[in-house]
Amino acid sequence: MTNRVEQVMGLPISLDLRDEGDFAEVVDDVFAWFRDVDARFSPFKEDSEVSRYDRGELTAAQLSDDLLEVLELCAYYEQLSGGAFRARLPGRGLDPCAVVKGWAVQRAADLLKAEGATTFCLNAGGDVVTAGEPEPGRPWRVGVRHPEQPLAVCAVLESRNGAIATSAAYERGSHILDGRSGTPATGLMSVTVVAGDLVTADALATAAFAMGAEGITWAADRPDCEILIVDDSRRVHRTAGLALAS
Amino acid sequence: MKKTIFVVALSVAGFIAVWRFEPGPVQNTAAVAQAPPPSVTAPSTTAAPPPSSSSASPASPPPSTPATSDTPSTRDTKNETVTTQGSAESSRYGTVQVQVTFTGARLAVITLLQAPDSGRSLTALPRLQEEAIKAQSADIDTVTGATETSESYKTSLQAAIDARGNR
Repeated sequence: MTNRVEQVMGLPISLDLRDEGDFAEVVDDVFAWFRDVDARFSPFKEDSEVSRYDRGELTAAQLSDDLLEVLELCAYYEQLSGGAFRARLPGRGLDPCAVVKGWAVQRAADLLKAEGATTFCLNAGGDVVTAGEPEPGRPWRVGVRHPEQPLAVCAVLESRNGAIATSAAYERGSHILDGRSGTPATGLMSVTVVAGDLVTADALATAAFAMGAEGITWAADRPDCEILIVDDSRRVHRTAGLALAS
Repeated sequence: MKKTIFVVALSVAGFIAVWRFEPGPVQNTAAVAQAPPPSVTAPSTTAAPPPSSSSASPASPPPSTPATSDTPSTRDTKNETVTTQGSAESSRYGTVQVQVTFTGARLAVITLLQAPDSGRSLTALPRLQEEAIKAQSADIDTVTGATETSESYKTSLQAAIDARGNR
């Protein structure tokens, strides 16, 4: 049993590990991985690989396999979303954060599983990966933050071995830009995507939020994911397969 | 009366335009809402298709005056109930047809007569408030969409859950 919370990558990262046994070392490795990702991929750190590549100090051939994978994912979701999701906006530097977060947290979850962990919930700034069940027969219960009330939830989802990500505009508004216009995304208050892995869930949530109202059908039409979206009129849109807790 | 019918027609048109954003089958009684006064409602639906393309009740003549017409209503329609059906509108999401009932100027009921059946289904459209009430009592393990900064984390539900786990 381990509970650990650290601020890394500008995010509060919480790990709730329920397995018996000594996982202290692998848990240390997980948080070291997040610090490593922050150092390498943050566009806010001058000496990160992302910043150096953006300044032309590194060529594509010199990039690490990890960054190449991230950039490929960015290109894939940019194409899939018709440009609403974009890692490089005109007049701005390269910012792959939207993909890096989901990718890094999923990697961490995979590391935990590879080291024998079977039952945990990893939450990075509201993006969640679950493994196993906290109690036999009971799935993890994941509250979806109410878009207008920080201490309330507007739905509770059940999750086993899955991933859930939310993109939203809370009190201070959204920092997500619509890549097609370069202006802040409008039309939706909160987009939650449930998928088998956090790379998919996080990227689809970000892209749908960036698209605005049309992101509802766009996300609903993606295979292998379920959605819960609150639009600006406070209507709740969900796919029929969404695992709502009773 | 003419003005009321016109307002109804425009409201239907406006409502259909809104429905077109919604891809899935929707509950039959979609909403009960207070309509603003007609003088506000009519101009606000100018983005909708022309009234003639979304016919109102069979008795209504084709509107020939603009919505903001000053023609006074000669009948007291304060408590009159008017039910009207919009035309079946096709869009790329399927066919939508609505029926609206007014009591005087108040929009009482909107009923979906036809809903799109193509594409992947989204469930009915509950209101955020209704959803939130149902979710309040649940005992949760974590929160999605919780926090993005260390400041907001300190006072977040997730922080409370983390603190509970560390007891």
